[in-house]
Amino acid sequence: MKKWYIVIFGLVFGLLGFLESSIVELECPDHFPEPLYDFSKNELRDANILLGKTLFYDPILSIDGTISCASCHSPYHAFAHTDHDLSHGIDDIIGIRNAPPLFNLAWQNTFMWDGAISHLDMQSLAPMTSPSEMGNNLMNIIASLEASKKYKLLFFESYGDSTITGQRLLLAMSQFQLTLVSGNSKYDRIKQSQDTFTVQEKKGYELYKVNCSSCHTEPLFINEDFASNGLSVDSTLMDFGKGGVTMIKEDSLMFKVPSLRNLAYTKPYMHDGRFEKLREVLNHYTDEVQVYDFPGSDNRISVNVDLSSNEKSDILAFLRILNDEEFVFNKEHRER
Amino acid sequence: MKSAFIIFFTLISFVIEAQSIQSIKISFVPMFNNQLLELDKPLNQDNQTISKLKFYISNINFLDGDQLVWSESESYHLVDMEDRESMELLLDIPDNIDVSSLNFDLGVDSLANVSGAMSDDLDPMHGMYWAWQSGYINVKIEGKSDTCPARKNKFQYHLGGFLAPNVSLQKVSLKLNKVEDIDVSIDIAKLFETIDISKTYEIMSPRAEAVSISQKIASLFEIRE
Ligand code: HEC
Ligand code: HEC
Repeated sequence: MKKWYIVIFGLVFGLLGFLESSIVELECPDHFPEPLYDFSKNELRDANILLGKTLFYDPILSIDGTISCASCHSPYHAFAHTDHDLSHGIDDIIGIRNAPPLFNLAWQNTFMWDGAISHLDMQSLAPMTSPSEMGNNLMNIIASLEASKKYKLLFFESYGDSTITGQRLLLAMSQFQLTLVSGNSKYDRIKQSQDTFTVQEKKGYELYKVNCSSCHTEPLFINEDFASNGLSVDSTLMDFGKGGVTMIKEDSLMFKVPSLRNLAYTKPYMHDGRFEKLREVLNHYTDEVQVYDFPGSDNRISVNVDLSSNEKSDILAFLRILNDEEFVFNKEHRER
Repeated sequence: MKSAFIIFFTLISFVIEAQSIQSIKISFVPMFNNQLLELDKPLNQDNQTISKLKFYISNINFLDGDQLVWSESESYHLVDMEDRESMELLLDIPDNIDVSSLNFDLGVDSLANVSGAMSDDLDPMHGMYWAWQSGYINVKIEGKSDTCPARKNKFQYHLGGFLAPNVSLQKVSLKLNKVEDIDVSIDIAKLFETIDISKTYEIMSPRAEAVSISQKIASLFEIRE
């Protein structure tokens, strides 16, 4: 009898020990603020990150087995979708928005261009079930994973038993995506006193601080808020951003402020991918700001920004040092 | 020292044991015009049927006057007509407490709505979480009626929303004077007296109509003698 206790205790503590030891700290650059994601409810572990990564690259999540998350979020493009202004899903159905890059998600509390999603864990449900993306449903996905020996094992290694639930699936998806931290660009090295600005980059930085930083705020270059940067409405899409979710007039044409990191890899730009080049983006800010009759706020650009052609080049030089090569070429994030 | 602790805790557990606990059952009983509601069965001359009836019951508690006498922890239950077992909630409640009302929420509170992926009845695999816009569906009613102009005459009410001004969660309070097994009926026919299916047949996102229909449903919960 007593022996059994010892064996069981041994097993339990062995398992606990295993789980303890494999907890991973999110690598978080010193000049970044505290992450917003609550890791206490979903502690990072090697096995779970691997499970999430495997799922991310697996078309098993789509109804016809053709589309994975990576189809639209490519690791070679900072997990954005290039060459398409609007994303393509199953049966080549075209969505209504440009797939954003995925990085530094632990510092975000709102997701999607219109902020329709309020938690990273729940984000994956949207592409999995959207008819223009993967066209699937959670019960169906769980059934296909249940039928796979590989996934039964991966779930076992992640959770200590091989039961597959919606919660476990979603938590694992978050785990992998949370590890996509981009914080090692030249800008970051400068912030950590390991590098210095060139004269032009410094000029660009100063211009950025005056004209752009209220929305694209350092060090993540987002402000966790919505804004209108004066884009005209595309009459074929009639996308009103946050206003379409909240149905509040003040929110019309407000879109989530995207990061300015890794722009070299993530063209085209804006929620509908209307700009191919960064210079076009700057030309928009200086020449094409549209004002609509919606209640104004500090977050709504209402006049053209004043920048000379040289100043634009300076800003572009600054934006270039926000490209994080180490992140884009990180093999850890790729499918093996 | 160690053994003193063990004795202490053993005693405490005896004391806890001594306060006896009774198990009671709350059964939800959907009705249609005083008849037990059956899924997919024609209910009136419009061949109206109900094919799905699912809702969240949460935050169950008993009050004595305005004094809280018992509340369930982690109180979230998905009641689904397609799953017999889910229609009966078992509660372990201390014996001989005085009560004057049974209270619960129809829906899921806002905290659970923004807490990420949850387990058990709150697991999004139950189809009660909106995918493209965060938030739980508090009540799902689907069915058909000849008067419904939608494809295949199907009406769908997915009621939810946790952000002002369209908060669909409703508080329900039912008078009672004894803690015992309770049947709670909901006469769905009364809901359709207030909805014109030919006009309102698809609600799939948080909005004012979702709130008013939720209020109506909340008013239909009744203790059945
Ligand atoms: C068909 C293309 C497509 C597929 C497949 C796809 N996405 Fe996306 N993803 C998008 C688009 C488009 C958006 C922006 C949607 C919007 O704003 O409405 C987006 C947004 C996101 C965001 C929000 C990023 C932010 O900063 O707000 C995350 C996270 C994300 N996707 C993760 C995933 C995951 C995980 C999967 C696989 C389960 C996936 N995506 C599959 C196209 C896709
Ligand atoms: C009032 C807030 C605000 C200010 C100030 C602002 N932006 Fe933006 N920016 C936005 C918003 C909002 C978007 C997304 C718009 C959309 O897609 O609808 C955006 C998008 C962008 C994009 C596209 C990013 C992508 O991934 O698609 C770039 C590049 C950009 N801004 C650069 C700048 C620069 C450079 C400045 C300064 C000259 C600046 N912004 C000033 C709010 C702002």
